[in-house]
Amino acid sequence: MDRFVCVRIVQGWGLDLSVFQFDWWAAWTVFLMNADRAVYARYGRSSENTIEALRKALEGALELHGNYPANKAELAGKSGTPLPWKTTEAIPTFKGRKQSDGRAECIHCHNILNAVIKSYPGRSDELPLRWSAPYPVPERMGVSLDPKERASVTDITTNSPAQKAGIRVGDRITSLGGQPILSIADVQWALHAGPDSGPLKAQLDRAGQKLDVTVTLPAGWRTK
Amino acid sequence: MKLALAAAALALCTTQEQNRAEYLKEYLADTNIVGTWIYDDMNAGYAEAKKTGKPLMVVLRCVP
Repeated sequence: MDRFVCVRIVQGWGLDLSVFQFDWWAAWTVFLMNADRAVYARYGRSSENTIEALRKALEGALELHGNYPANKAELAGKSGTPLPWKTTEAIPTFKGRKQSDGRAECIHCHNILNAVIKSYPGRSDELPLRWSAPYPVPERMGVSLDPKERASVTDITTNSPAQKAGIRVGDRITSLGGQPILSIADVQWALHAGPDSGPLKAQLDRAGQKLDVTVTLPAGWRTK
Repeated sequence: MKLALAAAALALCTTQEQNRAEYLKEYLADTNIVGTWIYDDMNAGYAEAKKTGKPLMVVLRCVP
């Protein structure tokens, strides 16, 4: 722990949305990042968070930190596509939020996604598909992952995009969509940021050997 | 005189921040934590990370 600067954020006011995009419905999330606001990894999901996997994500983050800024380009995808608002309180739904005694009302993380979804129609933009079905679970591409590891495959769905790409049980996903993968939350992030249909490149570690594969995501994969 | 007032204001702000951090720790029952934690202040986190060269671990967990 002493190899990191530890910060605890307890509410959503003032969150920089160019950095802190994550599964806002998860009750607990960790960002591993640096002072340049480059994100190394996300950790944490609605279920199955383990100390073992968090430790492995921390170790991976230290490796990435040791290679920064040489690896800056491969980390670029870890930051989100800019939203129309820079901070949470700029989202129209949150404007003017106050408690009865005049104090600003707390913004909980789970309020943020609802606010983003509600505010899009107001801008006459069609809500991007990724926001109507955000942070897809790995099963959406046909893999189940071990919650005690970074992103190790424990099961493959028959006829899924993952199986068709040649991913096998026992493979460890080390890169997805060009981003280093240190956790299941990272897989969800890469899928969230991935295409609505089309190719998604992956790199695997199969018994110590590096393997590049392409997962072809079919139209409608986010919601079917 | 102005310098003394400025110093007093800075001391008060620092004390208030420390008090708020202590309040949050107690409210959240973070009594058995390991290491030093910065509460609810990303700018302080970035500054410390820049000064020390360490990466950041930012835990987002709303107060229930």
